[in-house]
Amino acid sequence: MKKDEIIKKIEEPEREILKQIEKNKNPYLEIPIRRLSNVQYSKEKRRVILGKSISKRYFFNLAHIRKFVQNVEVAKIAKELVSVNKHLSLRETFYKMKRTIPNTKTNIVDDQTESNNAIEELELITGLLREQLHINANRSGFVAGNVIIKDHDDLIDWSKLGSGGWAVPSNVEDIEFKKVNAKFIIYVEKAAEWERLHEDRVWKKLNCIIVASQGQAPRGIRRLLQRLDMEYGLPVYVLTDLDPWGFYIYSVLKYGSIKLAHISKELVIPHAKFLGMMPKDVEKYGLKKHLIKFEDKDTKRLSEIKEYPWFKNNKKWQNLFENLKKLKGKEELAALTSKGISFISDIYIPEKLKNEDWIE
Amino acid sequence: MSIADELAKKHKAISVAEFFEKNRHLLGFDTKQKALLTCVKEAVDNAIDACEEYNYINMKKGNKIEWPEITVWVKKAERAYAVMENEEEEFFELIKKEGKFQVIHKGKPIRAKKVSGNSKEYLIEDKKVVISENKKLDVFVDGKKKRLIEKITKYKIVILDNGPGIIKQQIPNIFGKMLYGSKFYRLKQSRGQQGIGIHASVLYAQLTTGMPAKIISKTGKGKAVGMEIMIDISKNEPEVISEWEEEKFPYEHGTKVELVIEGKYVSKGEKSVYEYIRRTSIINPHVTFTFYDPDGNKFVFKRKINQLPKEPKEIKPHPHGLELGILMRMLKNSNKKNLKQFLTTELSRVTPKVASEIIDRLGLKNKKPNELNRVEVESLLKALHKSDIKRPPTDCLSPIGEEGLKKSLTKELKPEFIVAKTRRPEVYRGMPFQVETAIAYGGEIKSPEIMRFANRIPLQYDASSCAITKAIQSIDWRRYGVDTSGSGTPQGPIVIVVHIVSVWVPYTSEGKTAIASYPIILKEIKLSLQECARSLYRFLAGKRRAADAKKRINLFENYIPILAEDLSEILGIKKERIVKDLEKILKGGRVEEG
Repeated sequence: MKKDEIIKKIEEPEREILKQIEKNKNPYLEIPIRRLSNVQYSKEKRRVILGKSISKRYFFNLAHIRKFVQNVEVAKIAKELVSVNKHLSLRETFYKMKRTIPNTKTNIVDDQTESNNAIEELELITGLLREQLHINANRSGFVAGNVIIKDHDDLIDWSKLGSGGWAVPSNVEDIEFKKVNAKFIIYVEKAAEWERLHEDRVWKKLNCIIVASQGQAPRGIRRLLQRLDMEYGLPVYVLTDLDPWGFYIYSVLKYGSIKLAHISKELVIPHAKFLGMMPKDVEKYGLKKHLIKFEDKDTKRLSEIKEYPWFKNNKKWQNLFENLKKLKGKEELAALTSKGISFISDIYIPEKLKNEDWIE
Repeated sequence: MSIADELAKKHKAISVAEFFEKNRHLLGFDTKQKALLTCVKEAVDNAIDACEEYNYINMKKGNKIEWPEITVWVKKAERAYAVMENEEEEFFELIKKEGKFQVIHKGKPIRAKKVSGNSKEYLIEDKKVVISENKKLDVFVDGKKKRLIEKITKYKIVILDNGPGIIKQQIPNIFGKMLYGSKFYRLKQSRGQQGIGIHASVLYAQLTTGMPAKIISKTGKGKAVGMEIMIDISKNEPEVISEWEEEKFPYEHGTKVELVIEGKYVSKGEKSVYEYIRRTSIINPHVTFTFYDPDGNKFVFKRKINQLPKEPKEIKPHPHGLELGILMRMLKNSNKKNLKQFLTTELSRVTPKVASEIIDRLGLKNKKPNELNRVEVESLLKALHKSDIKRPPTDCLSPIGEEGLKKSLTKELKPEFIVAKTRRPEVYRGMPFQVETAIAYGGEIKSPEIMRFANRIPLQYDASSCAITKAIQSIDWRRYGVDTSGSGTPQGPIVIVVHIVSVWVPYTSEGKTAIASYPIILKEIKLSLQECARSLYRFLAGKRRAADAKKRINLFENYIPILAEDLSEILGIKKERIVKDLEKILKGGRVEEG
């Protein structure tokens, strides 16, 4: 999208506000509701989508006014950023927004969750992505593989970046893939596992790309994975710990989340496959003694995830949940180390891939 | 046992002075500060009573009301200072009397050797003593300045009223004979109740300063009579020291009383004379008070209402509150020829029908009142307690009333909010009583204050043992939007007024400073205050709502420039125009829609 178009889209809601003010009406913003009640799973699109419910946020309303002003404030900042072609981090945006309202002790924003939320709402209102608004998150995540990209004017070879790999920026829209020599992608939930795979040169041995984040995958990584999937048809094999939180990471990668349902189209990875860890791996590789006992919150989370529409009618997944329930414990990927330092690289992953031991 | 009982028994056996010494605390003379207040109080109480009685008769004659005016002076009569030899020993004494100094050394007056201007020179124990009085009093001993320690202070208190005056023949007995009075065992709402007051003050003055009481009185046309009275304490008889005719008197009729007493004057606080007069003026809004303090400051508390209190009436005891002892005594002293006559005439509200019914049921038909034995009296009492008898007559009580209280308090306190409640009369131990309360809030009120009153006199001592305080503390004030202290006393700009009137106020002690905690009295005070508090709550809630609305508008006003600025920056439109439009929406009340 061109700069002028983006600016026009940012200005649109403000023009609407002005119109209402001139009509002597209490001005309001229309914001799609991001709640479970307004989020659906589209079987057809195979992802989470936002419903049609919209909330009106009024300026002259005690409960709304602060958020209303936050929304407009973010729009002002975004317009400036796009106009002068500069970027701010979420943190910087927070500081740019934070100021005290004259005659009061109130700040426009008090902490970053408020500014982050206002930014996400601007996405909702304008239909633009945060990246298009020139607001970036911190880099979080690493890749390595036989890939050469162009970032701004620099060529970067993902195979020649030492032990750290390439840190994935939050905005990967403008990255150009120059050379992609890989057959698939392995995504791991934890940085420690990624370092294991990187040290063992798994990407070279198996001719793949290895990607990691720390915990929940951030937008930059999800978008990067999506692009590699869509543009190069690379399947993404997801490796997480064996617990409900691991399944959730996979679920978000593949189908999207409530919070970012409005941009799920730009984030979901349709060809993600769950490689492990699975209950039967625990059995097969004799990891039972490393099980961490389930707590109530784990059981509760598991039963919630079981009910997700995309898992509910999937026999394989339901079996997996049942088996995990029987195990009554969680298993970390790191437990594989008990079988040998490079067990995960040399045996676990290759065997599973060879046996096509994944589920979707 | 009441003081009257004690006195009746003792006054022949012991001297009055001795009795006084032993009972100082009961009579209100236990400290110098309290003694001064008591003397003022007794004289003022008498003065108001006299003015009221004058007007009741005056009105019955169809004459115009002569509004009571009472003036009080507290003057410094004598001051004594000690000049110290060292930390412990006194060197000599310095007494200021009628503007002149007297030096007393070891009990003997010393004459000055030399007088020059405002300083005098003395020789005491071969030391040169110079006393100079310019603006300040300074004492030099051999050229060294000495510190003065105030010892005793004597005050002259003067109370003037425009009451009926006292005829010459009665003055000695009224002021100079203990026990002289007409108030004993009268079931009538009156200020004094025991009728000892003024004589005790005269005696106190005599015992502490040796000075007689000076009374000037005028009863109408003709000259005023002046008289100096002392009490012959061995005989308990008044002694007229001197008598004269006074040319000038400020009113056509009235009385002026002067007492010189030892005392301690405090200028402010709950227990001060000033506060006594202020509160007395609040609870007697038909009286104008003028007060001159020892420094000559004048305080006027103007009459606040144009209505004389209704004259309280004397009543007979009501059966429901009778106690065995009282009934027995009444029966014994009765000269009624039969029981029915006794019941219907010496008790209130007993109808002939009820009386006959009780007498028949108990088989006492042929008994005379003084023939009943203890068992019979007990069964009679039980029957009386159970009988269906109307409440005691309420016209015996004379509360101020809600309007009067509100007017009085509004003029004195200038509050933002005022509510008053006068309850219906109730009965404790056969005595009708009535509670009225008021709450004043905000405005010129700055700090919390509780004012206790009984039969139109302020109660300034023993707050913690008083039923009024207990009732106040038993209320959960926070429920009514009022903060409280740890003890449960309301805080903030709030004045709470509680007034109890009764034909016999149940004081906790003969000092007449606190009201006894009868459950029915506590309950009445509490209910009355709660009713006031509910109004206060509504007022405060309304105020809060108004404040909230104001706050909301303010908040919107503060956000308007921010929105205008942002919109102006994004869209390139003049900020001022947007501000104007937004303010228009706010003023039009088109807010919180949607």
